[in-house]
Amino acid sequence: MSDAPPPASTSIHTKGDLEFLFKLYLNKRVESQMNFYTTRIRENELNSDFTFTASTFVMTLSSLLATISASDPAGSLRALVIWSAILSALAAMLEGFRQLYNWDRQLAIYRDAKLGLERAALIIPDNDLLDQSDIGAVYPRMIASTELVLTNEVNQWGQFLLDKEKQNEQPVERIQTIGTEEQRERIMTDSYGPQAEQSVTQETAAVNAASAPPTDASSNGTVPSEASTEKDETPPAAG
Amino acid sequence: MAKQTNFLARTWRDVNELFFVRRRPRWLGIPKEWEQPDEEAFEAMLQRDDFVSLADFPAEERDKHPIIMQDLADLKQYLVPTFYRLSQRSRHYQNLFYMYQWIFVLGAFLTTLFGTLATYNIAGPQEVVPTAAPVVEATAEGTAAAEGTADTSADQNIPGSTRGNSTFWAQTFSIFTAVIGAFTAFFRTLSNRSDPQKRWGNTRRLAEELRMHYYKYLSHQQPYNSPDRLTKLRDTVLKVKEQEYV
Repeated sequence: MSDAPPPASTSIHTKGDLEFLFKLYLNKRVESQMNFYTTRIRENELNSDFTFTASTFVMTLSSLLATISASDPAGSLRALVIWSAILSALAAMLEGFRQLYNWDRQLAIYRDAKLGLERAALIIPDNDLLDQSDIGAVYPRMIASTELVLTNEVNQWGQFLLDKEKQNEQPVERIQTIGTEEQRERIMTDSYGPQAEQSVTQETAAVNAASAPPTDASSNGTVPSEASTEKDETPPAAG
Repeated sequence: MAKQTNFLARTWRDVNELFFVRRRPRWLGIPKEWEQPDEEAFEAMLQRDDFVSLADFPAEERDKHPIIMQDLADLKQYLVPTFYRLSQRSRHYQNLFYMYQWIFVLGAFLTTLFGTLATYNIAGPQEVVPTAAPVVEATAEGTAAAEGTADTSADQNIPGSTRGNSTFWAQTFSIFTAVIGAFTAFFRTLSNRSDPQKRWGNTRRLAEELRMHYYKYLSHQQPYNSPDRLTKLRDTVLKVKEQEYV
């Protein structure tokens, strides 16, 4: 994706066509994708919480049963040992599924993509101003920034799979993905030109400077800025 | 009452979103190849998958947008079938990947379970013997300990005795453990051979790339803003097809 703002469409679309396409794109691409991310975020959160809670509960129960069994000198509660072992295996199974689906990682990908889409949607004029807006100018920019976000999401997903594959000690080819901050800058550049990017960078730097706590020189213990706590370009290994 | 109903409805909805309900693999598999359905079903598919379908055009609107209608016809002819073919393959490999992984995870669990049960049945009676031994001695009125040992070992072959049952179950669980281990190893080999994870990721990425081109073509965005746009579209689709096997 070039850093220069995309040229306005040189198509032979009429104004009516453009308005129609604009609404279609909003509905079919932006909103539906946003709904998809929302659903997936909720589902991943639910599963992550469920497996963590369930495996913790099962492990606690397993330890409890093992302790009770060991504290019985007569050995009449010896059968509890077997339940303890089975529960441990059950907890291990839940952990296995947790690593398999890696909900937390998926959650981060979908959350970033949703935020990226919301950022891209800033280009869309408010409903009240829609009639006065030049759809012919807004539409190509909206497509460029939205597709950038969606492409990055797909690449991240591909990277996620490749990282899982890497766990199996197979050579992988690195997929290029961009961080949220860079994505934001690109969207702003695509939408409003290089000046906007510069002003955003300055604004971010000012916000970071204002929000950063005083530096403890002795320990060099500055809290990382927003940019450095962003998701790494290389996602962490799954599981 | 309404609160209880809401709670139950919410819980039920949550349960249906848990991975073992919503994301469990289809054990009978998903077909690898896509077959184009009839026109009506195809339009419904387009609508469901967030493509533009005739349902988006009221009849009176179709004549007002001839260029869009022509573009949609081009896309439907050259791009959409490839998208669905890749998407179908992606779903097939995704299901295959999760099916294998579920087998490995469940296999590990069942192996541990049956191994534990086998161990319990092997170790269990041996620990029971000392408590049973005095009873044998009491009834035998001081017979030799060797006799008790002989009786215990003889119990192993007596159906219905504690020792006999334990041996039977120990053997049974051991066999189950071995069978599950072999079953898992078989699927591990299949998984390594077909490499479903890599294929799933690749086909999904390519399908989504086509979806991006769909909207770019429809909007006459670069590179589809020149007179040879249809040729470019066909070239793009061809390149995507080639990448499937790279």
